[in-house]
Parts: sequence; structure tokens; C-alpha cells
Amino acid sequence: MALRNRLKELRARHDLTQQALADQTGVSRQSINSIETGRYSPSVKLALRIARVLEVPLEEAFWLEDDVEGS
Amino acid sequence: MIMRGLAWYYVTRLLIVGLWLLAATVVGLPIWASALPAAAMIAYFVWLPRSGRYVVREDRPLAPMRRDERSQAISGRAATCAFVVQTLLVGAGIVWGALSHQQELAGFLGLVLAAGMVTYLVAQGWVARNS
Repeated sequence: MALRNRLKELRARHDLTQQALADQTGVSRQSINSIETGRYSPSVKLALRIARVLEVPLEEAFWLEDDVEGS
Repeated sequence: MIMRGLAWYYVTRLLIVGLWLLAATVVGLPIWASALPAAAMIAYFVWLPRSGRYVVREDRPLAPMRRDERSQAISGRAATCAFVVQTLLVGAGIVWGALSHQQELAGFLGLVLAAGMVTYLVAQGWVARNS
């Protein structure tokens, strides 16, 4: 089961660049890029930090491929 | 161009470049052979904080670059690859030493291999117990 996300969309909603999101979550810009493109699956801690910055529940930012999206 | 809060980072890196230039002068390298690496080092040190590869902690002026969890995972995989390659090479060295009757070399490499294996197993056990 692949981990999917809508970070790009949520970032845009908050007018955040990858670097800005990286700064607020304490990781590098490349890590945010890798997460967005699905090349890296973040730890639960980091996923929670990202969801908190983007002001959404965790499952709205991340979900498993066979889950109903955003439910 | 210069990131705020990183003054100490740039000063210490300039000192490193200065030490390189001093050493190059003492050794007697031609100007181009000392200046080109110095320029490359300066470019590298300026590029590094804005490369996006590291978390830049401006509150830690001397060592502001930190690896995040992804970078650590990458380092871990790279270290595993290096360990496997070095183990294979040391193993090959033991065989070569034994076949060419260089018992001292084979014995030394055997110790290196054993130390590596023991370190791996102990570290694995310690990490497993603490994670």
C-alpha cells in the first residue's frame, strides 16, 4: 500500500513554499519535495507536524492508496 | 547572498580555507593549485546552507547544518552499502593473503573482518533494545 498525500494542494492553500513548510516542520526542502512526490514516507512524528502546520487532520494530508481519499 | 545568522559559519569556513592556503604555501604548491581548490571550497561552503539538503539551524552558529530523518535514512543505507562492499573486499583480501602465503596479512584482515562483524552485531542489538 503506497502512501499518498496532498501536500502540494494544501501548501498552495496556505501560500507556503516547500522551503517555508520545511522550515516550519524542521526538515530540509528536499525532504518535503521527496514526500510530496511520494519518494519518501515520513515518520508519524513528521507527518503529524506537517498536518499541524497545514491545519488539517493527519488523514486529510496523508492516506494509504486503497483508502477512500480524505475520508 | 549571505544568509543572516550564519556569520560564524562563514567565518569558520573562511578559516578552513585560510588554513588550506597556508598549508599549500608551506608545501610550495603553484598558485593555481592552491587557489582553485580554495575557490571551490568557498563556493561549496556558500552553496551548502542553501542546497536544500540540510536543515539550517541558525541558532547553532558553528555547526548549523543538521541532517533530518530522510537524510539520516539515506546515510544509514549508504553506510550499509559501504559495510557490505568493505566486508567483501576484506574477505577477498583474506583469501588472497592465504593463497599467496601471506599469513600475517590474512590474519590481520581476519581480525578486521571479525571486529566489523562484532561491531555490527553489538550495534544492532543495542539499537534494537533502544528503539
